[in-house]
Amino acid sequence: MNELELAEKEFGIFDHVPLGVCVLRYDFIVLFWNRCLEDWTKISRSSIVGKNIYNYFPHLNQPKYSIRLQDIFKGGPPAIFSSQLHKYIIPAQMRGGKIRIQHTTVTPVRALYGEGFYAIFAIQDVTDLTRRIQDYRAMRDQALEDIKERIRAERELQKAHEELELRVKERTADLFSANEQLQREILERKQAEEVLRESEEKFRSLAEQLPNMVFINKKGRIIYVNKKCEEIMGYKKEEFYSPDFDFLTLTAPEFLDIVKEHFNEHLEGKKVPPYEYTLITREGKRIDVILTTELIRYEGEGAILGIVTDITERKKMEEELLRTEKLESIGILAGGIAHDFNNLLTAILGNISLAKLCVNPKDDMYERLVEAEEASLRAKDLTQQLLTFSKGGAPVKKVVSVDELIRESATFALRGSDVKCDFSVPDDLWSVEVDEGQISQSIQNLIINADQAMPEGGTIHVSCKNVTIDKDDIKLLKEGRYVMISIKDHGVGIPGENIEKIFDPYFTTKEKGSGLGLATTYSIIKKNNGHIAVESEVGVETTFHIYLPASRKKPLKKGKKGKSADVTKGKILVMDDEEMIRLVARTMLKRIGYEVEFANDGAEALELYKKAKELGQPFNAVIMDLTVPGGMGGKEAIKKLLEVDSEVKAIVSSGYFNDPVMADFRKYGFHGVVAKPYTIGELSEALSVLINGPA
Amino acid sequence: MALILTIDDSMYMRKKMISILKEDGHEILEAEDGVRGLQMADSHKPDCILLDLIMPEMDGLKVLKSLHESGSKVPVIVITADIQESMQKKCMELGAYAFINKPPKKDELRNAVNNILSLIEKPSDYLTAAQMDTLKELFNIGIGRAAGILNEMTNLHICLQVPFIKVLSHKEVKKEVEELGSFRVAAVRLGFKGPFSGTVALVFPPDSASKLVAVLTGEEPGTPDLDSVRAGTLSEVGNIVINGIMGSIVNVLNEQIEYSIPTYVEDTIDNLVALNGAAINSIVILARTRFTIEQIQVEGDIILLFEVGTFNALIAAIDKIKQNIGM
Repeated sequence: MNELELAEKEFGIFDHVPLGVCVLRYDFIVLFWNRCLEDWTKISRSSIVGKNIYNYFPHLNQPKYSIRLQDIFKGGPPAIFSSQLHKYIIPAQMRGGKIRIQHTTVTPVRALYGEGFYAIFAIQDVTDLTRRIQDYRAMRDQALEDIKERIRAERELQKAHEELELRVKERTADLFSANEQLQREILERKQAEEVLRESEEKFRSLAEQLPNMVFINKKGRIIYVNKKCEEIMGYKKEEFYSPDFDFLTLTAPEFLDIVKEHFNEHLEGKKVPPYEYTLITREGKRIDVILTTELIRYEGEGAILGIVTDITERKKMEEELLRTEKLESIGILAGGIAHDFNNLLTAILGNISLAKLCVNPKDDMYERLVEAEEASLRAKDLTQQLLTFSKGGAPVKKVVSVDELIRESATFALRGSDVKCDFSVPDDLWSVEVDEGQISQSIQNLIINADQAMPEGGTIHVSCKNVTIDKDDIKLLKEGRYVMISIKDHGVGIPGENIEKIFDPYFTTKEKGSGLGLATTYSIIKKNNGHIAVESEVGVETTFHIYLPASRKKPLKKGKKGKSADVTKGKILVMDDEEMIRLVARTMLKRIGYEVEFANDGAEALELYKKAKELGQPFNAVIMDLTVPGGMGGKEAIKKLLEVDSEVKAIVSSGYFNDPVMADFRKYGFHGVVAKPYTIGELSEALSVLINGPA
Repeated sequence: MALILTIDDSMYMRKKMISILKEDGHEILEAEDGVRGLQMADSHKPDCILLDLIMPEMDGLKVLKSLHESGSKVPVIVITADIQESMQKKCMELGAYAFINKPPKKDELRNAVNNILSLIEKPSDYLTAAQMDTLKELFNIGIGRAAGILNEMTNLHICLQVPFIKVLSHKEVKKEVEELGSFRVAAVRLGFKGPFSGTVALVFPPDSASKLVAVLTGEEPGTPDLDSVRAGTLSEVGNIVINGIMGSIVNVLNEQIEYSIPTYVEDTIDNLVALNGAAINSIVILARTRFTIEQIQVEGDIILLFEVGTFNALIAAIDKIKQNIGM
């Protein structure tokens, strides 16, 4: 077998591999050419084997191949011919003319003949692989480009997005925080408003219920008043709130300066203590008030909250109290001297009365005595008026018809005057239970004043009506039924500043007035549980209102008064510690026709009464002085006398006109009363009523 | 200090060697026959084996052969009374590092052991400056040949240089590679077997690889990915460089070497170095190779890992060159 045959046998196995395989000898003679290569190159094994490969593929003679192949023939390491660097090692056209791309590994194998090595070429067709890889590369490059572009675009987008997001975030955050701030503010404001509204509502509902006037003044404007303000001041809320409304018009002129001053202090933020002043209502009525102010915040701004307490009634009461006290102090003084005074007057008056009896009325002397008697009587009136002021002076009450009382009193007071008087008295007018004399005197005083207020003449209107006083209607009156007597003149009127003083004692606007007339009237009415009020408009009219407690009882029929002293037989015991009184009384009683015995005090009177009774010559009546210094007075003596004789007829006589015993003599056991000083007529009538009963 | 396994049927000899080596602080394991010796070599991984040849059951040659075939890189010192040169050569072919006559002289044994240990620990210390120069020269010759072939193929002026080579222990290589960092590389490997055996690998750092491929193929430098076409290109370049160096070395050795088919791999550099786990006592020649292509001003580095299991054979060959050229 030659080398070629050996090679064919040795390498024939490579016909079965999918690689191009050929075997070269050191001299580049082809020893084996496998079927794959035959197929690729269309060169048959038979034609190429035994020939130099350069004959077919001269490029292999290039050093880049030959140098490396020579190493293989020496048994050196395998050599690789890559497709990229060589494209092919054995050029082979494919259908379509393209050359097969090849990756070749050349390895040495020991020569079958002699020394040295053969080179086995293992040729891999990587055409498809290369194409695919090229496609893949192109694809990948494109994809990479695309990705790059996309990444760039995405980055741009991302960047833009981020910027936008950032901006949105910032904006949102700004907006959010602004919104939050706003929300918070709104909430806070809402809450504050709610709190304010609630507190203002609470305030209003409270204020509306208060009996006080409540107002809020903001910068000189009234922005709130409660109902009471409307009721009392006579303005509507809208009027108060009007921008044209000047709150100073509510203030009495004499208080304007102080109110302005206080208001300015408020504006400076100062606190002003409560102060009293006078308001003037829409109708011109004066109201005394205490104003308490407070600086507050109202509807978010500084304002003045004012609480006004109407103290008119309280002030009246205070004035009343003051007046009553004044009157009482006078009364104490008067009471102190009235006793002595009355005793003196009793003696004077008694002697004058007696003297008149001894004188021919046509004589000049008689005229003098009459004058003296009248003067004494005026002195007696004065004393009695003074005594009405004194404490404890109780009126002698009985049920009286007002109609009769006012007509008699007015007629009496207006004798010799040009002023006329008309009466308006309802038929169903209630009777009153009062001291007839005192009330008559009060009415006379008022009529006289009215008369004097109308020097030009005119008409005094006297009207009466039944009134029922509820609680709180007139604070100075207890609730109940009253008869109101109103005496109205169209005279000069009483100026405001005087109106509060007219009831004060010794206050007078008349040149010759005593200043006791209205004071006495006031005192009397008070003592009879009544009330007197006055309304006046200067130059227009003045009205006095007298309230007298009504009675359900019918008035007693008035007996006719005896015009002169009737001569009546009887035996009288007079108890008086004053010699002077005893003297006058004896003369008067003897003159009237009585027998008289005297006692210095109660004990003696008791002795004498008992003795006379035992002797069967009892006294027809007893006249007893109330007070006996150092001895038993009338009050105690009557008790003892009643023990001796329950039928004893006694008259109490005292200069203490105001003594309770005098007012309520029956309660103490007396049958009659006669106030000192008395005239002979008065004494005669009293005794006549006592002994013979009322006429 | 190292772990040394002594395989000898004579207890007296074993004790003697222990007494000598203990002075240097080594730890000694004993095996009274070949079978036991192989077991202990496998289980204890000694740094060095002292091997008697004439033993019952399994003699020293069989042990050496078994170690060589298993790819063990444990250096073996043969200690025998058989002083025939043919036997010495036989042992050296089977990878024995040294051959000492029995009974060993104390200093001779200590020097032989310590030399081997130092070679394993730090091979550069083991080589003389002249040996290193010769080695570097061999590399430069090989690289030069490779550059010539590349220039021929591409019509480019490609310049390849080896700025330095290092002879390193396996441990040192690991450390060196760790310093480079764990990055993915492409490599072309070639196994070789003969009087000296080992693997040579040309490692392309990714940057260099793509540059190189782009220049050689005229492609636009761009994508670094290595498809199979590019892998083929790199394989050829690596093949050329490795063949150059191997050719240069084999030339001077004048010995027949068998080669494996070159393979292309991609892996991390540390894995690549540790590819052969058994090669724990192998020596690595690390040659940094720089290529420059002047026309287009491209520079790059490639690393040549030359892993040799039978380093002493290489050293012996180098020494022979020196004698030949009269150095």
